[in-house]
Amino acid sequence: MKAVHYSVIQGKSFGYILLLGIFGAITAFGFGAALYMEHNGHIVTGMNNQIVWGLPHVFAVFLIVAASGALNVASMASVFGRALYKPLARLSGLLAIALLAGGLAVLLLDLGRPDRLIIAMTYYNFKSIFALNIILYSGFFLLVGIYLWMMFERRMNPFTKVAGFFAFIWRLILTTGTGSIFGFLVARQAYDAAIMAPLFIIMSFAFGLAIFLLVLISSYAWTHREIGDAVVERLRKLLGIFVASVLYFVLVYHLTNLYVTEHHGIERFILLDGGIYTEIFWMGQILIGGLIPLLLCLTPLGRSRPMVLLAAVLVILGGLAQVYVIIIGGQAFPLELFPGKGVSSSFFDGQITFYQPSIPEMFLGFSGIGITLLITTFAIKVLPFLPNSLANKDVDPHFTDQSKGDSGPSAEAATA
Amino acid sequence: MTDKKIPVKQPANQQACSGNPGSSQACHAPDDNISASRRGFVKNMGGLTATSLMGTAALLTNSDDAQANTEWAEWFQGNYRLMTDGEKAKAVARLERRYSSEYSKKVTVDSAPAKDGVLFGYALNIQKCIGCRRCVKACVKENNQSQSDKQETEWIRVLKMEKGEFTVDKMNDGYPGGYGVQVGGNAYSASGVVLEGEHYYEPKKVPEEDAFYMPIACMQCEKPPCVKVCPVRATYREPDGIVVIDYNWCIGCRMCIAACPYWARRFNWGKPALPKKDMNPKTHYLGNRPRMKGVTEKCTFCIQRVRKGRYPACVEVCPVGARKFGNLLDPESEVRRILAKKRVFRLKVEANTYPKFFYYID
Repeated sequence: MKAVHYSVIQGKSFGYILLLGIFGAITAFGFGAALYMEHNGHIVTGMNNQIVWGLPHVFAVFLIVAASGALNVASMASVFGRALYKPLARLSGLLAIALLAGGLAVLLLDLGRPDRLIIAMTYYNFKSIFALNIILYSGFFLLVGIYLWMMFERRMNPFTKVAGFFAFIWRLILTTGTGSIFGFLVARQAYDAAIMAPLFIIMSFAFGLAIFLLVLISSYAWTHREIGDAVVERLRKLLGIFVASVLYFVLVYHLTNLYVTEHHGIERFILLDGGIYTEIFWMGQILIGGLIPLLLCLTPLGRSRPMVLLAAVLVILGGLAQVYVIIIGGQAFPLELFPGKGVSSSFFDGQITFYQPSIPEMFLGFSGIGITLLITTFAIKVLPFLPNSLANKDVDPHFTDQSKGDSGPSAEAATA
Repeated sequence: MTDKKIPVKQPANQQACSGNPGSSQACHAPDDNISASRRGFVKNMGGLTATSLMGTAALLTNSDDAQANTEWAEWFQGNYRLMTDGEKAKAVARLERRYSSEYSKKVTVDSAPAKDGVLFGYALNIQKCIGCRRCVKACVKENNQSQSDKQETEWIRVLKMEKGEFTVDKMNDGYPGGYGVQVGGNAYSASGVVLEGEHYYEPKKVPEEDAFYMPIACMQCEKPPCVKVCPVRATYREPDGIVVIDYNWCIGCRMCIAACPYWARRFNWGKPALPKKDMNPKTHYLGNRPRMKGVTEKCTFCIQRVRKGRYPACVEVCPVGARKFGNLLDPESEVRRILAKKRVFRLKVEANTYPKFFYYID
């Protein structure tokens, strides 16, 4: 591989300013919504005493999970020594930080008392998985920051591998922690499962890579830099493997629940008669976010660049659907106090809870994406995150594009 | 959007930026003027922020508004559990001033601590409960719960349990219903997972035929999952066994609500609707004092009453004497005698949360 040259983007074009404006507006709307919710209370949301975490949590968890996954590309370069991914490592680190910042902003602004955030940052209950996650998030910022520093600063380059290793281990622990927020919730039928932690890890691989692919291809197209199939093809196939793994873990989760009679209620609810949740599960999570991207990633159907982009977008949409089903669907199913007994009460017992996200919730949720992209767009202007070229000849001169029948250098030579 | 590919700002950087994969030298050129102006900007902004904060502090601390004063002071208030007696007294005095002003009546905020040798427990006779829900209403009144169409809070729920039935035509319905091996029969039909359950059951007469009632509130677990998950220890178990919430310390993450196996906690989605005339002025810091929006609340065994030697409101109001309350450490207490002589069970005992709320039958 040739030496990699990085550069900042000029960022003076109308398109760039427009992008900044759009992401800034999305972010501003989110902050406005948070202010509105803070002023009026969460009563203006669709949440209630059964569904206590709504759409903002869906976005927040999705982004936090994707953050650790976005770092995977860098880990493959630094930890597993795959040279092809080394030029991508900086962008991978940047996206990891930006996604986490976006997710955390939404999570924190959705607190009942965001003004008391200082308490959450300074006072911990170490038995609480939620508190442990706060430590994990802070540590992730720190470690990925150091990792990026090692990559940027030439005299620190020898430590890149060590920093990358620690960041990789930390990201595994972080996603284990995020999954365990649900895995440790013994009270709810949909959660209370050890598989939540590995499921979230594999979800992070897929979501993070999908977002990475989307940002990478878009930024290279918009800045007229070259990106060859050597990179895109590998990432596409990798995405396919991750999507297949997510489907496998989801299958195991539901099979386990289906075997245990105690969980038949929640399984019937999610898989068969849960209304909107069943539809989102089958249509959103399995079909749009699983089977179609699988087809696009692992067959020649998805070879073209637009198809790769489509696969990434579908994985992201399916990921949001999956997190929606886990978080909202899991809470909508009534808490079973007396399995096998029909219950009605003076306070909503035994009811499938109705939840309709309100507009402020949507704004707040989307602002997480806005913050992520705003940070990313701004960062690539001020620091050289993007390699000048990811053309095949620069990253992998021996890459063979089987679909076109050419064979790297020899094809070039023939052309020449 | 174009960036003309590379040598972007300074061609000289081009060489400096080359290097090992994943690395480069710094691609920025230091500029003294820029640095100096940046330092100046940071300094100015810092000064402006500090001035604004001091101004706000001065305005709030000198305000005559009891609420503004209290809210400002509460910013610097610690976790109630860790406060000294002096700090607690100050916090309580602040709140008394604020609530008295807000509700136009003399409001007291008690801070009576747990007594040694006391562990509160509750026993409920489900055979006697007639589902009249007087306990629910008494609890709402005693504990200053929000009552409006928009935000209705009830700490006690009375479940109406309908009976299922066995039917001959389902005798051969097994699981998995015609496919593969039969695993158990399915002749029993539960009254159904209630998809469209009643919010209120409003029969003309209670108890209804073919129904029995199961009141549920906070179980005051000895090993409470809600306490374990709270990231900031805003909720904790007091020495007399009551699980309480420091409303001022709660950040409103709602994790405790999700973690409670009994679904006993409620969130203040908006500002609680508590009319002045209905406000119970005898309050406890950890109990029935008015809550703010964005925090969680739940049953405290009427901490403001029981620490003064009174019964909880629900015990007092129960027309059939189904509810009993007392000190679990006192062998002569009513609740201990029930545990010794009656057939007792606890809800979701498999969760190992060790509730101090017992159900019994004669």
